[in-house]
Amino acid sequence: MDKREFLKKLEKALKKLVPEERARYISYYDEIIMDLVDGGMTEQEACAKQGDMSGIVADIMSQVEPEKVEKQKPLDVILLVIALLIGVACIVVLIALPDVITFAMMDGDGPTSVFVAGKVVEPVWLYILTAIVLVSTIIAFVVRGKGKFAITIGIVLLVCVITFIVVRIDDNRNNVEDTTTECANVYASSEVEKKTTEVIKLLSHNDYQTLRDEYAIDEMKEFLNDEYMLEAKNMINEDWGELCSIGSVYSAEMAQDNVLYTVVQVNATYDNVSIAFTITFDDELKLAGIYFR
Amino acid sequence: MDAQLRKGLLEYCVLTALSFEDSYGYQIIKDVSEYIDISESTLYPILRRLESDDKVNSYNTEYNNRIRKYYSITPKGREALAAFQEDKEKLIKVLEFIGGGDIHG
Repeated sequence: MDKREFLKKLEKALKKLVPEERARYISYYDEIIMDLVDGGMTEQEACAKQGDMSGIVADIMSQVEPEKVEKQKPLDVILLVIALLIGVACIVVLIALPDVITFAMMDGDGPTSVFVAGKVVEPVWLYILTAIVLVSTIIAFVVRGKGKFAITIGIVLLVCVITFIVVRIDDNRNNVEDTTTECANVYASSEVEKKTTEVIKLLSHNDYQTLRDEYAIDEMKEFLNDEYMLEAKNMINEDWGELCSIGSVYSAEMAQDNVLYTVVQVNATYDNVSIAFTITFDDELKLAGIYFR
Repeated sequence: MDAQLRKGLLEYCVLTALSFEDSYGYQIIKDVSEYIDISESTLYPILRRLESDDKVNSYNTEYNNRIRKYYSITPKGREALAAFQEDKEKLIKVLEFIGGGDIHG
């Protein structure tokens, strides 16, 4: 063991001492060993002369004043545990929650429209948790000082938090901006419901002219004709029969390219078939997609 | 020597060594170990204690491109040493008393 190793071992063994006191012992031994070397010993011999490390430490600790011994601070341990738990919780939630809902409204035989939409609802409480993690980590840092353990945990947590925030920001960018999300509420669900009912009725009566002219966005217009729609309907059944009833309307907001879409899921019963419609409206409540099966 | 007794005497040994001239760790050990067992790990806590009791001062000097810490005795340290001299009479009596005990039963 050379001097460097010896001092490193000593530093580790004197962990219980307050840092300044520990530093004093290290420079003391540094000096002693150098003096022994100057007296003709090798570093190895000088270190060996100090005897067993546990003996050295026992000697020191039995002499040292109690105030020089670092007290275990329960506060920072608790904080670290809290920070760790919350950090883990954040990660679990992050992984468990589907961040991006892939919404494909594509069918070989029907009118098509493909959406990849982000989650619109912002998990505010996740931000709060993240803030708590940050704050408790910083407090733990301050309280604990230079502990390697604290630094490691702190770095891990910081990386988690930063990753988390980056993911959220990235998400938001693909997503609707907050203001747009608020705008979405302009359309009360009753209005969406009304539109949906109208679209289904027009579709049932094969009135594509009206759908084209009054409801659909430009991209949809080329599909809204007898040729396309009848073919698509016939794929399910040659004769649907009359529309009997329309079930409950479920709607969700989806976003793509900064446009907010309302996606509606509704079942309709006909004489001969039961059809599940997925109808999409854009932010002006124009028909942007129809899918049925 | 009994550890408790040695501990008490070591402080005075170190003070005595410093009463001749300022000295540093390695030299103090060399000087004192002629009379009493002292190791590197026992010396430093004693120096620290003497320093915090204001019986000893320390200063750094450069030696061979490194820092060497020198210790010097303070007036308070000399007082302590003088007080111990006064106790010497009593101590010797105690030692004689112990030495005169019936060790063989």
